[in-house]
Amino acid sequence: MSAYLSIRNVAKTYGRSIALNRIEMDVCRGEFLALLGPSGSGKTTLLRILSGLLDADHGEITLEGRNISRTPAWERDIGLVFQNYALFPHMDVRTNVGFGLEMRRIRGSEAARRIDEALDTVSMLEFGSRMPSELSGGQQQRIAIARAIAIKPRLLLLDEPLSNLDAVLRQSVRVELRELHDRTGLTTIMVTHDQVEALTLSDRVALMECGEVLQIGSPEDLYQRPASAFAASFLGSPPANLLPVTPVGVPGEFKIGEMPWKPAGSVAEILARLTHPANIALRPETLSLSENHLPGSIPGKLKAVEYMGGERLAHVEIFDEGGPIVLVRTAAEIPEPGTKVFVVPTVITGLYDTENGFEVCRLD
Amino acid sequence: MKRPGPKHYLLAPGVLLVSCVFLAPFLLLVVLSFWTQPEGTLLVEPSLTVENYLRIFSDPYYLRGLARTIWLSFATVFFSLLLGFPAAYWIVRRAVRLRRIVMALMLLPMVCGALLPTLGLVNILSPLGIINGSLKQLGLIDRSIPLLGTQTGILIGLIQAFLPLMVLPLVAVMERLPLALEEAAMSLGARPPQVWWRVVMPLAAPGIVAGSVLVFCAALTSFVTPQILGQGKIATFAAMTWQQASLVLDWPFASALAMVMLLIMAALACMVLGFRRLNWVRP
Amino acid sequence: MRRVLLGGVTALVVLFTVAPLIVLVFSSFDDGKFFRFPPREFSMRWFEAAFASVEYRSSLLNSAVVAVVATLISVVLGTAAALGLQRTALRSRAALEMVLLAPLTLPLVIWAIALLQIYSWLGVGGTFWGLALAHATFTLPFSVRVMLATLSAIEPGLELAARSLGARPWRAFARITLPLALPGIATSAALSFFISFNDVIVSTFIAGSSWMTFPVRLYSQLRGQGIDPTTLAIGTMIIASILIVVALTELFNRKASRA
Ligand SMILES: Nc1ncnc2c1ncn2[C@@H]1O[C@H](COP(=O)(O)OP(=O)(O)OP(=O)(O)O)[C@@H](O)[C@H]1O
Ligand SMILES: [Mg+2]
Repeated sequence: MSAYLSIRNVAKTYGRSIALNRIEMDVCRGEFLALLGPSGSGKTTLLRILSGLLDADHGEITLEGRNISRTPAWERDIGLVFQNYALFPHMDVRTNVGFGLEMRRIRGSEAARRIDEALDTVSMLEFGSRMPSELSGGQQQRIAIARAIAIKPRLLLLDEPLSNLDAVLRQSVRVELRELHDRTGLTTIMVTHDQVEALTLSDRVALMECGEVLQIGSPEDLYQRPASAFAASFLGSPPANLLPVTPVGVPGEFKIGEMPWKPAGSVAEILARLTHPANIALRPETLSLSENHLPGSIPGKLKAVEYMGGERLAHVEIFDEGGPIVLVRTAAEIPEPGTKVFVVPTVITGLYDTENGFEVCRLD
Repeated sequence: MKRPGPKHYLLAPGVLLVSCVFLAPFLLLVVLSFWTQPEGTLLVEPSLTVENYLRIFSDPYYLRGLARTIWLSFATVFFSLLLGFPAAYWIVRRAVRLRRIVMALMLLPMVCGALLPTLGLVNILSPLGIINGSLKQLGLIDRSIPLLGTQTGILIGLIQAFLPLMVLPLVAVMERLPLALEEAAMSLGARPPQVWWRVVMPLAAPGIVAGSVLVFCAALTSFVTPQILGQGKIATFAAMTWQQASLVLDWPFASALAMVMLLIMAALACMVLGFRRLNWVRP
Repeated sequence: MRRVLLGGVTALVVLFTVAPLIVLVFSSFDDGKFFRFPPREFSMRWFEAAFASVEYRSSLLNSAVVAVVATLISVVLGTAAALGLQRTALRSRAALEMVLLAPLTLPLVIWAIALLQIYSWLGVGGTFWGLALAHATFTLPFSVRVMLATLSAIEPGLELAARSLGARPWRAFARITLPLALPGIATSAALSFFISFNDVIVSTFIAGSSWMTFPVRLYSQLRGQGIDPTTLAIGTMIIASILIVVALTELFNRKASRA
């Protein structure tokens, strides 16, 4: 079965700078996909190309089996919600929501019914006669969504829909967005640079950097099996620790930086496959602290402890003064800063090439 | 700040200059227009008669002149808008590097005053000028089309002179329209003409109104361009006023003529203010 | 297709706006006494005539002197007013700004008719100072606008910072704000000068035969005798000097903004 939306080899350059580099992606019908990536990674560019507001340099976009790469924006039936909402300031809420219907020559009672339906979906039925300037930011955003879904789009695109809302509202709108998606079943692509948003909302996350999609997968997949050093160090709060590990030639013995280290247990088993220097990713919550030397532990000195409510984040300077800092996140008691401690790794999240950052071998 | 602080002394000279030299004469004009100047003398009699106004509104010469001027002004507004709107849109949305230079060129005629462009226009429109000359070269005509001394010629001159007055306010307003509004309309299924008609035009309305008022007033009161391009054959209202003031030297009557123009503009301003109130733009 | 149409209209508008000036320059090099298209020989004789003519020279000098004085008044008062406006409470500011910019919005012809009569009562009709004051008045709003834009682009904290470092208000102004505002001052001076220099609308009413400016002379000549090609040559030189000054201020502005 072919995908509902498929993006093949899409690229875009602005002058000499590459905004998108050969994007390949498939999206299933009814899926909620998040495009996640740091600023300037090309998320908005990809969204605009999908919506037809921007022409790709080359590549092909197929929606429901039809190539829409050359279809103008106004014939694509793709709903778009802008970061600043872009409500028409000279039209009241109902006219805004009905704009797409008006363009499709849907008038009278049929239009009124669909406007009501869309407004009802975002629980804004009673605001129909307001002007956009008389609405709060959160309300404007709902109207923007209502306007986009009133046309029964084949695809709903959201560009950082939550970024203009305050922290409290963001939380509740997040839940509402997911509910909306489950209710309408619209295939949705959302751009965000907030990983919590991406991980909590979506069925799948596409991680972008420098105009490329580095990894696509379920939130669990991405979090637990980051396919690149970038993914490991981007996801998680705080993100994974990356430590340079070098095999020294003697089985079971390694160096972290210049210091010797002898891992134990499952960590040792995985590292046994290593033939070249690599970066290992250790998630802070998989590490634990001990005051005594345990097999496979790394010695260090506790520099600082941050209280995070429920859990604590320990900054450990491993080996000597000036050595790398490892973050450990734990709910257990932590000794005073300044104490000598041992960091105990239990799980390895990933092993990455020191040059290109890709996985050295797949962990299962 | 209730008490005038030291900063107000900075403002005083400028405000004083404009108030005394510019605004006061406007007020005096109202009074002067009710004075009279007995036939054949240059003495002005302070009086309070509406004689001057009666003379304007009973003499077909002035009425026709007024009608012609208003018609020319409307035509100027129409064509300036027709040309100026797409141009302003292009400047705001498409021009990247050319923008500064285009805007500078728009200001150039203003700096050059009314005469130098008119001088060039005469050479463009004259029977041996650029237009007729090139049409003849191309073999399209063999007798010159009269342009100088016709209303068409004057209209061309007025549009040429005042087009920037339409473009500049339009650019200023359109600059503040987020591109996302147009994109949102497109994503909702609006074709480019519909985007213009339903989104760009209504939102640019303040600029359209401002530009139209500016162009209308400028055309209504212009006399240099019409006089030269009309070759004295077609008198516009402002040219008649100028003649009364500078050649006939009947100043009270010239004042009344000027007042008529001022009243037309005041009426226009009231209409515009009424329109403003209906506008979506909130203070 | 749409893009081409839009760009085409813009090109037309730009061409329409500058074509008369281009033709003016073009025709000033034509040999004929009456311009005709296609042109005849290339010739500099009208430029030679322009330099030889005493009448034109004196009216040009009159224009220049009036423009210099008007510019001085306009720039000084305009800068002061812009500074004052910038530090005025919002409510009175709008009204004051409206007064200062009034000469931009109200038609000059109507004003000139009233001014003509007032000047003649006061006995300053046709005098140099009457003319210069009128020119200063209608060029003032240009200075005010340019200076307002310039000043609003200057970080207000800078002068305060200088004061906190011990500079007295005047010194802080002279050392910080004034140098940063120089490009704006240059721009408003250039604008005021040329607008005054080229004005015919106001001057034709209030300039008498005793202080006849070049545009007034040209206007009366155009109404009477038609175009004297010598004036085309002079017009070309005026346009050339405008372009040179624009280029110089642009260069100056660029240098200043890089500093
Ligand atoms: N109009 C443009 N002209 C030139 N370069 C552009 C343009 N728009 C985007 N870019 C460049 O393309 C790259 C991708 O931009 P894009 O807006 O897609 O990033 P983004 O992932 O949406 O970032 P953000 O999270 O900050 O919104 C950036 O490097 C940007 O500088
Ligand atoms: Mg973006």
